[in-house]
Amino acid sequence: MSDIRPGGPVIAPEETPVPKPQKKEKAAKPASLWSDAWHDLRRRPIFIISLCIIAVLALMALWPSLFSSVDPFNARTCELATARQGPSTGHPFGRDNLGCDLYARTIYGAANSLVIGISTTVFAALIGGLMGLIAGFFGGGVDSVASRITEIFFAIPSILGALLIGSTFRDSGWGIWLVVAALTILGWPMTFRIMRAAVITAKSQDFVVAARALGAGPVRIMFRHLLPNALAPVIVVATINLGGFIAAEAALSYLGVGVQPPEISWGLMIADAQRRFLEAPLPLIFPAVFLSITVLAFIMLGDAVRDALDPKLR
Amino acid sequence: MGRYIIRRLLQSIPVLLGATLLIFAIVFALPGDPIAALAGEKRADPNIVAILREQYHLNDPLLLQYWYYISGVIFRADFGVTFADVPVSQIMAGKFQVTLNLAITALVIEALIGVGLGLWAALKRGKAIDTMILASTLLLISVPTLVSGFVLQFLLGVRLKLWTGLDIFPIAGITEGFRSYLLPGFVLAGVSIAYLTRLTRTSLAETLRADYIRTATAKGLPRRRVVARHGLRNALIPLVTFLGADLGNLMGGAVITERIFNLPGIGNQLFMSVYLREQPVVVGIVTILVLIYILANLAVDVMYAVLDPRIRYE
Repeated sequence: MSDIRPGGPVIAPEETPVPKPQKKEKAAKPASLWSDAWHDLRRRPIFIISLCIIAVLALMALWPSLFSSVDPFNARTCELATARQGPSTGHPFGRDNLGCDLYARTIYGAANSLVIGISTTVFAALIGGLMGLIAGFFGGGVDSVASRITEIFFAIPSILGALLIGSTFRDSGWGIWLVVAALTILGWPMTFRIMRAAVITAKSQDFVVAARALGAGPVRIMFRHLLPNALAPVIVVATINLGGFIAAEAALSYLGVGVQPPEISWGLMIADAQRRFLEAPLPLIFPAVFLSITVLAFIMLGDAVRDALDPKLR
Repeated sequence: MGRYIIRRLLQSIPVLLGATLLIFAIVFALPGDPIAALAGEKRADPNIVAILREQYHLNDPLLLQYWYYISGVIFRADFGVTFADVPVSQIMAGKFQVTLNLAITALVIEALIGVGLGLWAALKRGKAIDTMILASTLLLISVPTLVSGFVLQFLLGVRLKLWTGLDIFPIAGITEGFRSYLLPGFVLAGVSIAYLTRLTRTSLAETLRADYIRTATAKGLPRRRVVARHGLRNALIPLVTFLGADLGNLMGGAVITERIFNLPGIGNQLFMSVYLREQPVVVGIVTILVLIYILANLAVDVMYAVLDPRIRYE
């Protein structure tokens, strides 16, 4: 990984063969890991496809009325008499167990999945990353204590731990942020391990020793020299985990400790539909398909980002 | 080696204590009064309530209650009694058997399919079949258990029987013995199958590039023998350790699968105990799961040394 320097340009070795004349200017331009990765990502169909799916999902989350004229939060749009009716004009997905429009509910469900998935990823990456940076940099006692603490969290099965946290604080009134908190508490140790390992590797490299010799303080070394070098693996893990957090949200909502009605979530819709699944599979299938496609999009994104940022794994 | 195992066991004591204390504290904060819940609709006699609260140490501070609990578990293997006066160990015994059966079925399915597909992909690296297998692992990772569980239950459990008259996969319960675990086992193994396939492919592809493989081929050994004896055997080390560590994950993550297929395992029991506020059962189940996680990881590290003679623990 000698080609990664802290934030700065990679200086071409002097012995490089003379570049072709027409490429001369381009070769002189500094190319960092990030611009290399971006250059590489733009050519990957998987990256483009997943970005397109995520863009559509984001639009659904931000502006659901663009996709559906029915407001699923308005109980007047539901008709119990038409419960579990198949697709019809105006109701392309049919109706659910309470006679509500399935299409509108599925569209409006995107927001909670994305908000929970993305916030959990960001919080877990921030907490785990910061702790990993500190533990890796200072080492010794700080590192031992922090590592023991993460082992404790690793040992608790995450879905069961989140189930416990969710049911204990169900009446806290935090709504979806309780789900975010529960998943963050159980998710941050993953980022911690990655960050800590990357920092320990980077710490012993020459440029850090040089920075220290030049009188840089611990904060400057951590954030100016170590962080940029350790960031790539953390971002890879965070993107791959994002899909997992979205699936976990659905699982928790299915178990009744995630998103609570009248909020809409694909996990809740699946839990509702499963009671009549054998006679009316569609109310379960549609949210399930949207959930799977969302998770797939983020996993594909994570795969593409990993391949671009970590060429060794290819 | 013996000293290493003892040291690791000693090191895992703080993890076990920390994890159980954490769970104990969360359960401690569960809303509602279990004694009042015991009395149901009627108001309980305050004298009886006082006696019961004293008997279950409910008036003591959290840490003291924890000490009563954990000392019972450690010194007398006593997991306490529920508020209905049933020994927790009695509730857990049968449930753990079910979840263990499920996890082992999942592990076997995972090993067969994962190693098989990974081997196939590694041997046909770069060909169409390799790409197809990689794409299917992406799908396997993306479809959450919640979705694959219901869909497979519907297609293989219900529809298959209707269409072909073959009653292979029971849709719920464990009354059909081994067959009852096949479908849930596959669903539970889903994501792990994908990871194991990828791991096998990477590991074998890397091993097949090693010098001793070229030597073996140059000696004139048949391709089959080179792959099986020289390649696969060496590539197997990370796979076995992955499978070992996965046992704990599968047991801890079985709650969704058990809910969908209505298996009376620990996940299902924990889910119900959380709702019934049977705190001792909740803590007991998680304690044993943490223990399984710790022991499985220790076994994996020991296995590493046994499989790879280059690794020596002091």
